[in-house]
Amino acid sequence: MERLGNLARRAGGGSRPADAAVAEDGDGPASTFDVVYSAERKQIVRLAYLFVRSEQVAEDLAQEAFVVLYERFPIVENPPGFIRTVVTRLALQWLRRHDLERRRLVVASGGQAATADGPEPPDPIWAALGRLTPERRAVLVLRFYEDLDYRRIGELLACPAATARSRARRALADLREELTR
Amino acid sequence: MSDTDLEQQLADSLRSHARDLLVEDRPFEPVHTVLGAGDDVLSGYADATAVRRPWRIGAVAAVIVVVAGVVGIIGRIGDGDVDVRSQALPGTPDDAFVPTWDAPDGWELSSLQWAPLTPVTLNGSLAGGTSAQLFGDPTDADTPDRALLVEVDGMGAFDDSEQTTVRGKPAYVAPDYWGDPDAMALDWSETADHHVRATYRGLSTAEVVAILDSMAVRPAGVDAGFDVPAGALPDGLALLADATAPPRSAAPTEVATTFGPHVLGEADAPPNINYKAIVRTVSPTGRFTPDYVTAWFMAGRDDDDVVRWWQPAQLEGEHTSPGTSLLTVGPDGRAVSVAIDPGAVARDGLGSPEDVAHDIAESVVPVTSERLSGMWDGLVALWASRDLVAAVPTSVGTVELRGRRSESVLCLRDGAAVSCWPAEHPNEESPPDGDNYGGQWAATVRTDDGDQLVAVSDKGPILMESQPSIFAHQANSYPEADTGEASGFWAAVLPTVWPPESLMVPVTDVAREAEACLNMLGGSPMHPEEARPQDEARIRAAGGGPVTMFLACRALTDGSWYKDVGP
Repeated sequence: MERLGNLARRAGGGSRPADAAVAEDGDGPASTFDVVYSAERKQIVRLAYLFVRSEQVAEDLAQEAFVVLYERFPIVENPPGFIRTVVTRLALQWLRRHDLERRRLVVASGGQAATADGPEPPDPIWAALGRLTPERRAVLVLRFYEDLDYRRIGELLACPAATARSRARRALADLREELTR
Repeated sequence: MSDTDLEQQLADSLRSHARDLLVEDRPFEPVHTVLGAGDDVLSGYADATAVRRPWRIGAVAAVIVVVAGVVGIIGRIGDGDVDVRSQALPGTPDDAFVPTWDAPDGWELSSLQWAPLTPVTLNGSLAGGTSAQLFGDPTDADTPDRALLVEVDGMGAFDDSEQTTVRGKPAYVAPDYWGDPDAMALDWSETADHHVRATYRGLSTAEVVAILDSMAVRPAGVDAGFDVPAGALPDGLALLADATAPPRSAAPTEVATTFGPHVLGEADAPPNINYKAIVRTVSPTGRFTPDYVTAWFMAGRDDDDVVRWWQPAQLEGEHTSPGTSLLTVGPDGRAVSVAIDPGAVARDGLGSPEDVAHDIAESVVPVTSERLSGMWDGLVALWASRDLVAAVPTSVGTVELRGRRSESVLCLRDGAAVSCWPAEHPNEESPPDGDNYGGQWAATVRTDDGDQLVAVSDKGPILMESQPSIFAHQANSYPEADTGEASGFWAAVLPTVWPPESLMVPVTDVAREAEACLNMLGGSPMHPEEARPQDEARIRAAGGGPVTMFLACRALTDGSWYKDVGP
């Protein structure tokens, strides 16, 4: 998390027209960015949290996702779908990097796992889920929390529906294996 | 626990944790929290209905379709056996790619592991099925960066353990592709020690086959078949089965005319250059496409030298300048510098094919094995349009271009040679931005969108791009490039070809950047101080110079830290 905080920041506000927060076709208040933001933010933060399991990171990723949406809002037809796509991919990016850092820190520390995730709550499913690879964790979250079909999951993860389905199958198998450990 | 129970418990757990998370209301501020996030996370956004007008983000990346590996067939001339030491796949930083590999039905990619100076390994499992394609669709503008991994059509050798390397069997090689109706059989099997044994039957001497790393390492004992010892190939290059069948629409005769011995066969080869084999690679997509084919011609004066004629060409449209050759390697890592298509030279009045052949024979540049191995920093990739035009090993390019009459020259346009400059006369055809780039040109690629100039100098590969759509993102990462403070040259040394953006550095600053990278590496949270000596020693052990050092250092940081820290 600290790493994210150290990342350079780009100001995004100056790069878009002043009216960008309102949909081009003027659908009215329901189409404004602020409305979407208010309606979706908590869900997006929670979705990100299920991916990354860190409140602070989830907040950051949700913020980033909304900035992406904000900058493209006039051309986005389905903001809720768009924001979920973005936050999912951001979360996966973060997870991969986090996973890589953790693995390298383990190497650098002579095998002592370094984790900033804190103690796991007493939920074996949740704990086992956290030990899955980012992609498999993601597909399970999308499938069993967001309740998305595999076509949509495939869109979010940039893979065919069949691949999403097979990933879910493998992820469940892994989850089951983790639970038995 | 039944599957249903597990799924239900999982759903309950997720909902419970989401519900328990307290999310405070917060007004929106348009401030990024993650550097660089944005465009890339939209790449491949599949819901076409989600935007009201086409957005071009994906198209920018679409220009940069890259081969992550080189696919080839290993074979030998005539009947007999071929031994090939299987190599790991070329690859990419795992940070960039794991989710992008498009696993086919029955295949599941569990992870892609990559580390600098070591082969990539692909971990996965195969659950039934006998065919697969492990690459994405580069023709999809929205998912352009799904580089070729390997196309496997037929048996996939696999195990489910760690460090599994995907290998494939070319299940079908169209016999008429090479114009030989007898070329019917190709057996391919793997042994327990990961040797691949291939037997080609019915292939006539002139008709083919094979390749190896597609670059410059000559396997020992060509005449006896390829038997590449472990480690003989540079990292990032693969010996893989070419499972790509030619398109049915391509007329065999046309193919043969373009790539067969009619172009550079025994009859046409320069004196003392015996035609050995044709090697074809495929387009960056891994599929044989009629508008992009690269052929390798291997010829040898004797058993000691193998000259490879590199010829990008097109099957459709005019077949332009046939053959800018480069890359030759003799035994024991002895590089042979060569160049220039004999016919082209003759047309330019620079000499007869025989003269050129003499030049070729005289232009051997000895390169020690250590140097060769150490200089295998990677590839210089050239792009035109959305296709990777060529990938040139930097070391060989450097060697070739050093003080040789026949130096230069890799000049391509959409896969076909367009123009070349001898290094001594770099301005015979001016580069886009004037004449201050010095000599030692390697290539230029012109596209409809602009010019992309690629040069190779004794400082290493240089890529100057003036095509905003290609490296716009990179340009943004280096604002000085727009101010004229930078040279305008960018090194595009791609150890595994992809992704280029993480490996761009002003060539004049390579050494400095390498040192800076190591310093940063040593002080980064990911790499505490004590890690640096190990890393550095590892890199140096690989024989790397500044470029290698820089690349390896960058790769050690998963290719992303640089953007985080900033130049």
